[in-house]
Amino acid sequence: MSQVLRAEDVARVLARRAERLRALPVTSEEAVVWLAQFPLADEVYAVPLESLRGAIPLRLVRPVPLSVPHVIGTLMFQGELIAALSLASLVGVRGWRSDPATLVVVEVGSGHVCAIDCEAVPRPITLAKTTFEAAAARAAAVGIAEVSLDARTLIQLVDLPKLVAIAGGGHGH
Amino acid sequence: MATSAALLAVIRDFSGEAQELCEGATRAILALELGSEGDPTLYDEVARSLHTLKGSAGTLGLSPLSDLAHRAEDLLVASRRHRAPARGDVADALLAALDAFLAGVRLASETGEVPASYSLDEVLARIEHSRSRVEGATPEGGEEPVKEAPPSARDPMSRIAEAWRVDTAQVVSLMRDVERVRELRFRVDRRRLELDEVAARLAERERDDRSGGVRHQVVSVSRGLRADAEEAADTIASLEQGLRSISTLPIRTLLDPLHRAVRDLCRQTGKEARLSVVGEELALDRRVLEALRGPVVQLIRNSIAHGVETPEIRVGRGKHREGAVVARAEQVGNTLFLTIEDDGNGVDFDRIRRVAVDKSLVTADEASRLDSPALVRMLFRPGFSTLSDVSETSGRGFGLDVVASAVEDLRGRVDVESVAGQGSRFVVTVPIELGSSPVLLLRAGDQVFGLPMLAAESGVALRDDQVIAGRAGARLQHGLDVVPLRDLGVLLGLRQRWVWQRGQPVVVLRHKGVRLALAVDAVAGNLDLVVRPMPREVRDVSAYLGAAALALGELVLVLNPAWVVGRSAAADLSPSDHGRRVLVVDDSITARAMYRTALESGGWTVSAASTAAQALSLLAHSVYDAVLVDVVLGESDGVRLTSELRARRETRSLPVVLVSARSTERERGLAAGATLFLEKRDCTAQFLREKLESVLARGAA
Repeated sequence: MSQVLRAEDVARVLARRAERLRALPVTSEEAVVWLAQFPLADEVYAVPLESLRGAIPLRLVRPVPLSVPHVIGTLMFQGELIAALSLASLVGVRGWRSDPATLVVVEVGSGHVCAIDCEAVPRPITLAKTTFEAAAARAAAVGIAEVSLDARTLIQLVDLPKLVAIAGGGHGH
Repeated sequence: MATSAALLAVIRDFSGEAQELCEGATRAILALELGSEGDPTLYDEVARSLHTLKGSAGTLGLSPLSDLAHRAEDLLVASRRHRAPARGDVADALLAALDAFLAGVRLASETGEVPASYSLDEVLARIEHSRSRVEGATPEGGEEPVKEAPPSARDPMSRIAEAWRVDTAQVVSLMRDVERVRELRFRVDRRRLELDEVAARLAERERDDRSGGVRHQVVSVSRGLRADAEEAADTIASLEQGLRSISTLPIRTLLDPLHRAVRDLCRQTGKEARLSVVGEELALDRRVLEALRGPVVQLIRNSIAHGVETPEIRVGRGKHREGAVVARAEQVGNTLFLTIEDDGNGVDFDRIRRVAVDKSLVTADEASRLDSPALVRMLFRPGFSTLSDVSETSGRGFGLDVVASAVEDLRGRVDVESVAGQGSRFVVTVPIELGSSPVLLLRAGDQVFGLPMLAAESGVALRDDQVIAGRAGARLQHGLDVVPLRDLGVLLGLRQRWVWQRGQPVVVLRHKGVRLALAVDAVAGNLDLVVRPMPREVRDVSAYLGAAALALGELVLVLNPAWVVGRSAAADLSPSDHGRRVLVVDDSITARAMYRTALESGGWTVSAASTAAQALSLLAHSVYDAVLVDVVLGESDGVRLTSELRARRETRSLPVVLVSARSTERERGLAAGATLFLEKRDCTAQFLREKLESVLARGAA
């Protein structure tokens, strides 16, 4: 036997549903930052999703003899030559499980783009905005900052320009 | 008054014409001032320009500017009539009038009229003052009136049909398209070659099954493709030429106004200097020219303010009282070298040290240990100046910072050479992204490099009797000359040393009068390539001018001839005898980068090979202390390579470290003769270095 819904019941259900919907997206948009996370060796690294320009397979990278060790080489990305950098070299070689075979292309400010290597295509995640801001401030000072994503997951937030500056971009040959 | 769009367009067009007229008049005034006042054609040129400016401004309703040109004309006529040289304050007043006129036209091109707030009182008073002085000083007989150009020929309305205004972005977009079409054409060529291979295979089959029809069809398609590719090449060349003419200007437009800048600065500082310009006809991308304007003016200001001494000091030093400043533009491949040099003081390195210490940038001890390049870099720091007083021309210490930043934006760099008491040379190197240029393709090891064809003088196949060994390295007997002989692979660190091979290709290159014989493994042809500047992260590697894409997207690094020739000047190019050397054999480019990072920081010299064959070739010519081999090696196998090394007499006792992601390979690797087996997951930088050290220690024991 079907239950008859009264108008006030319908109104109440709809009001609750609207309240729930209003609460969810607004809170998440205001309180989180989207990141692109990717694995390298035993760590998980992340960069702000808004800086991500692409994830491409590691091929057609031209090695550049006499460049600094953390430069893997150069490649063409959307009609422009960009540098491919070894993230493992930048953060300090800590061993690896499989040879990185993916390049994450990121914008590092003022339209300048470069690529870093990783072991798999990045996945989007969110991080509380306040947590992100605190970690970003730490990363801006030392190039990398550890953040707890949840009780069991740690990610390394990367400030690429700082890491490159620390590693020394120039060479002088 | 509302200004119609048509009138505004005409005024904007006139702005360009006024610029040209003012530049021409400025050149003539400077020539008059430098002692050519006897040349009546110079007066005529200034007079004609002023007259045209006056007429055009009047036609467009820009009466304050028309009046200004008229008053300047009066001054010129008075100067001529009274035989007063157009120099000193007369030249100042005329030049100021031209400046004010141009500034007024630019303002009017925004709104259609000269704003009421734009005051010409000061410049008019200056003109009037000079005219009174000229007329009061030497009243003399008149001159013939200046001939005027026919007004109709200079009517700005007539210029509308002569030129189109094109958005820069549209031209840039067209240029990009042409570059891409050129690359597409390379791909078509490649496809045609592939088709030829198919035809050749079909020909082999034809012998058996006589299916000649298909082969003929393929051959026909290939011929058609070749004809299409040739036509595309012609069209691309024509498009490039057209675009070049639209998008370039002679560098004269940048360098000519510098005469005026030098003159004004000398007037302000009481110095005397003459500017010489070399290479002014070189055509450059307008955007590059515009971006270089500021840095070049700044370098010229620096030459006058810091370089050229006062006439008294120069005479005391035995120099000509007038300083020499040279601006030289030179293009090599897709790179522009712009040099500003003077014969003045030179950089005062001791003073830089003192200022750096005073500003607490370094300690006195550190300052004493800074070498010349480090001291020169100080000059490019914001706020760093060696002058104690701030003047109108210099002393704030931001000039060279501005130069460095502008050149960096152009993806270029600035180099400085200086000799105390003899002068300084600032060399601005910037890439020119415009069209293609011919590039010779050279192979060293498994890599192909490009060399701008302009730098290649000739090619020879090496003969034993041509090589002369010497303490400063090998030399090549080339005709009547003897030139240094270097191996490209060794220069680039791809291998340690090289045994000259009979018949090995050698390219003799020349740069700025210096020649070098460059031995390569093969000459792989030549192509017209679009050379793009290197990314920022590797721009400091001065070995390359840029990189270019080949048919299938593979990149070729284009060598910098200046670097190649410069490297050959190093006294001893043989590998260093100190330090430990390791050969890393891994087909993963990322893994090779990690090994380099880990080991070079520990003082190891790392060479790399991506295949077993390449490793064996390197080991045949070079000496290594250890070899680090990945077990998975593309088509080959690191364990098999280890066995081969053990089987060879010369590598039997060489320490071989096998590395793998899988521990299951350990037994097989050690059984093949590996000295050590490591798992990649354990390979931290320190662990790797310690293990290699232990292997060496074991070998020594």
